Amino acid sequence: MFKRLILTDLKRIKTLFVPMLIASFFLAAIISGLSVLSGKLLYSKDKQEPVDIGIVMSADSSMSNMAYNMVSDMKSYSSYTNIIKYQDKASGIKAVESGELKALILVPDNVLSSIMNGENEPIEVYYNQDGTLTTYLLKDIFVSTSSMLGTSQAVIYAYQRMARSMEWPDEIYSAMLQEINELTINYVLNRTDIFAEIHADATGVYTPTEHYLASGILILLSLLGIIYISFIKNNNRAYIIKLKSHGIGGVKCSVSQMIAMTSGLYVIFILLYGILFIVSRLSDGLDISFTPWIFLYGLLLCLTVSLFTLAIGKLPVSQAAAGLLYLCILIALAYIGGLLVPRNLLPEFAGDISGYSPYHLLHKMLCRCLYG
Amino acid sequence: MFEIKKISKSFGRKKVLSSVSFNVEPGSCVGLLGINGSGKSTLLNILAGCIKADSGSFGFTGSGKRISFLPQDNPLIPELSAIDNIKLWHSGGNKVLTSEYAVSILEKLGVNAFLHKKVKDMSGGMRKRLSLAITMMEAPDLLLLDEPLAALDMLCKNGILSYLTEYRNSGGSIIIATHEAAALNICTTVNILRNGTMTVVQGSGSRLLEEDYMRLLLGKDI
Repeated sequence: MFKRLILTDLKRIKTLFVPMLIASFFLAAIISGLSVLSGKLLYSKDKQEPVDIGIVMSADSSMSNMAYNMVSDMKSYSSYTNIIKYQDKASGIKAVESGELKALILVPDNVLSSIMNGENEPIEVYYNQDGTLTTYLLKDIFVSTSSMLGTSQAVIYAYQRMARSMEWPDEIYSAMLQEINELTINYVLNRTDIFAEIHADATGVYTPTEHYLASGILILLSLLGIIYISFIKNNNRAYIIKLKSHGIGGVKCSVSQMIAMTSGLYVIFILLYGILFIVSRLSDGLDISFTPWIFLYGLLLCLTVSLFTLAIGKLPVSQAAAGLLYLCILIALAYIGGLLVPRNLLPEFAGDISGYSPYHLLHKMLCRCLYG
Repeated sequence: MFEIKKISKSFGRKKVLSSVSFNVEPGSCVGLLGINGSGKSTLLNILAGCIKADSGSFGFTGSGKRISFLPQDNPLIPELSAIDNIKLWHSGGNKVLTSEYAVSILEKLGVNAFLHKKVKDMSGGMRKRLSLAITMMEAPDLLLLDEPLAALDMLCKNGILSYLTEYRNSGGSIIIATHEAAALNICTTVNILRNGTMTVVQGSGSRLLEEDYMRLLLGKDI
């Protein structure tokens, strides 16, 4: 009787196979597209929007303009900010208050000469107190810039004192001073030119496309589990009673359902893997490797999804409620497991428990199987 | 003969069955009457082995050992066909439909006409006939029926009742829980379940008038 029950449950799963196949191909197409675009959509440098900061200075002050050119040429500013000139302080502060600008710098007319003379005329900076990371980083950049200017100032003063103590002629002194200024500005203020840029993905060892493709496969198979809830719930009381009269209790019934669901999911997993493997061989964008472990992994994954589906399906709630609960738990587990947002970018509380999430482990294993 | 001795069952504080005893002779049909919640289905479930009694015993004396149970709702899988449903409950694969016994049952109950139809596409009468055919194909010595005529039209009821009569006349035993007066006509004995206890009314159910039936159910003497 138990064997016949398993065969019957497999027949029932077969009736769900076509809708599941259609659903999985539809989902697979969306997931594949999003995975391929993920690198460009999420973590691309092109997506970084510069921060607007304003600068107020006198239009006819050549020194101020020199200061402006100097600052706007600095790589630490130009790579991160968009400097906008403002005519007057009032309009600049209004822009900061409204959020148009993240910060406003008021440059005094005699800024450079005051630096050169050691008078250090204060440079006012107004921030938008929105408490964001951007404002925090801006403050840091301004402080760093001041330190760099201070360093260059120290070099120039040191030179000046040395020149005076050695009583150099005025012409030589002026020529050397100019050279020192240029050298200082070029080397101190553009120090970032010699930084080597190493590109590290938030997704760790795997590229965003590889990470999200694996996430997509896990989510797709999990979503298909929702269709199986009807298979679990769609047994009337008389059917269960008659099964009991034939010696088939709840446990055997559940085992039979698990076998049927796992088999159905496994077929779809193998089909999906096969298609990905073929596509990867025909295109350059993806490199899916073959390993016999994928078959064992697929079985483990499908068993996990079936177990999860069975647990939710056996709850004494309606089919619709079970489906909704399934979805909520799935999204929570997927988030904690780092499927939706890479683990490195999760909030601290989520990152701590992420390691224990079944999805995190499944994702890791799937990536190893797919990409080596 | 099938003997039921002092079966008792409680659900929590509610005593549903209290020392119920009766016998079922071969070739007889025992009708179980009672208002809703009187314990008819509980008794049948106990006899079918689906739930355990708190006390008491039951079993065949002499020959006979097979009990088949048809619950009130049809124990069918809607998304599968009649054949696939039959194959679940009976071993033998496709051969189960070719045996002489199976063929005769399917013909008599008219299931042959819709063997390949999916259960979800069948009418109530078709489903009941299919459920009964599946139950009868187990070749039972004792047939337990829980409200077999519920929600059926007159034609379907008569068809099923004539089949059950034929089964009874060929030596089979039936215990039928019912509200239907029509079903009482095939009963050789009528047992009334009231407040967990059983009153046996000897004689054929067809002799009971509807008025008597109501009086018995309400606890008044005839």
